[in-house]
Amino acid sequence: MIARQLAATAAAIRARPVLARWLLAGPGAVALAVATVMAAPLWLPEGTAGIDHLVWPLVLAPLAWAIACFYPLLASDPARAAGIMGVLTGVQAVLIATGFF
Amino acid sequence: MITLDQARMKRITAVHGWSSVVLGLLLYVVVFTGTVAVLAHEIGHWSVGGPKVTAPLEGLVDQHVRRLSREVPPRYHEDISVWHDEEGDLRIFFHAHATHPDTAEEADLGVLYELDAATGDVLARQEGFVFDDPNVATESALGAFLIDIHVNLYLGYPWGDLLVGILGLAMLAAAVSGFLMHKHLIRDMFVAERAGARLVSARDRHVLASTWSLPFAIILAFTGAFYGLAWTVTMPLITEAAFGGDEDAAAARMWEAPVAEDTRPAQMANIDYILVDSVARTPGAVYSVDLVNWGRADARVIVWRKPSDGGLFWFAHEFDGVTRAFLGQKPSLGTVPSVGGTLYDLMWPLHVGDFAGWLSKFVWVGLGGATCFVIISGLRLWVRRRSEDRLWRRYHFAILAVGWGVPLGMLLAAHAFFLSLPAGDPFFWTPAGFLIGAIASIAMAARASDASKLRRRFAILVASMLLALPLVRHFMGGLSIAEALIMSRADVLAIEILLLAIGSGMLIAMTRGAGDHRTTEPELTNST
Repeated sequence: MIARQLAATAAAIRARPVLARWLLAGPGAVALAVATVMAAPLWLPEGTAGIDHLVWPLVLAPLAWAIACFYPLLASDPARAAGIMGVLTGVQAVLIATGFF
Repeated sequence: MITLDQARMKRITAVHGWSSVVLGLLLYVVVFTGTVAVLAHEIGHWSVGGPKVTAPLEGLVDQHVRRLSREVPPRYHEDISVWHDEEGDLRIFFHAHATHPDTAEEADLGVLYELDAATGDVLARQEGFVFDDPNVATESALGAFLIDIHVNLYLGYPWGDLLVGILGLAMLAAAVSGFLMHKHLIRDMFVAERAGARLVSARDRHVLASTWSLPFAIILAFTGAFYGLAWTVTMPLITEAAFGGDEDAAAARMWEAPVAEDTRPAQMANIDYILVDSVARTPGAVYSVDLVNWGRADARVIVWRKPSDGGLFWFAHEFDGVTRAFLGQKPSLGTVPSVGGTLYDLMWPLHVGDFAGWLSKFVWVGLGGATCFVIISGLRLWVRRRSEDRLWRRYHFAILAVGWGVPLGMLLAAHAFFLSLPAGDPFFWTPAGFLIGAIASIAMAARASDASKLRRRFAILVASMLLALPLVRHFMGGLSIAEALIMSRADVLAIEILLLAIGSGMLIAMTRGAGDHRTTEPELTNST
């Protein structure tokens, strides 16, 4: 049932590749970058000064967005890109919601 | 080199074009103003430069602080900042932190003294939320304007910063996509212009400039996006996730946990000795000093230092305010040096090129100028390919209005600054001058029908204003070239030479260009 649902979603994405890529590289990339920045302090090591887990996402946020933006544009299969980005965003959202610890 | 198949190349080209066309003109404003703002400190110093010379903060600070501390209410002893302003005067600001009634946010409340650094005479005294008055907060309205228009496009915090951060991301998208589009990165660095082939020639110029400035554009876009978004978006998100939204807890972790309070009165150590101690530990100039909890047992003295010779980062030495004991080098983030703190510190020199004096600053200015050319030439290329469409022909005039309007506006701002000095209101007239220049540029472009003539008119105006600026500065009471030479004022001489070189270079190029077939490319007209 779930496998059939996923296959149908993938087929729908592949049927509209241009729209799918624009959505993934636009709002999808922003959502993934926000999730990554918010989840990173929960799993990154704190370092000697106890700030590395805060500073790395603070400084590297533009890089997180750039990777999330260009990945769906360069991926050969938009459905696979949507799956990977969706899972990454979802898992990190759960981390943030539960506070990880 | 990364080789993309046709489908990927098509998608990346679309991102490159549309990210530039949609936000390109605003991006140009940010990059051009940023290129000038690299020299904002030097321009600020040049603009107010009188006969006084700004010396590093050293000697005889202690006696002034002690004398003046007896004249201000003890509640303002909480934090005392000492620095030299751009006019060479000593500023001592006794203050506490209080909620500002207008903004409901915490602000500095206290007494600010302006002293003659040589004699110690009090030149001015302000009390209250002194930074409400820009004349007090900043020495040069021109220097402050250059920074404000670059940092937030004069839209204020947080919306202006946020917009600039988004423009940084757009620039990052354009630069990364531009890198991916290069099929022959090394060969493109030495591409020769092909005479006679108009479109190819214009494209060659764009490719050549973009290839050389690509690494710089990526660094600039990344660090610019970081600065625009860090405190408006990213840090609030991190605070929410890691501290449940508790800003005080986040600030304590990021900067420094408050020192254990000890309000017992205590005799303060001599500040002059502390300054000497700081310089002995690391040779170089002292920028400013913060005295925290003056007169109390928990007093701290923080000596802020410019990067030492060969160093990249600003740093601070922290001393016990009572015993003079050296407590260590204070990192900008956290309480001890860390990889994260170093990464954060790296953003500033990478963004502004402030790490090897004039040389690195001029390299940053040059590469910033190349990036401006890349943006404008890319936009013109886009329009040329769509020249049959009336809308895109109009867009070409918008490119000219912004491309020339920004330098024209900034020059008018500088002229307005100097001309309004006698009236004492340069903080109003400097941005007003920019606005007048911007409106005039838009009006000129809206009325023009021939792009070539419009460009020539703009070029003559900009070159004339560049050449006139040193004269205006001189006649409004600035140092003469002879005085600057005698006093070895490198800032005055460098800015003046730069203005004259660019202005005369433009005039020479225009004169030669009239007979040069390469510059007589048919221009788009606004007639249909």
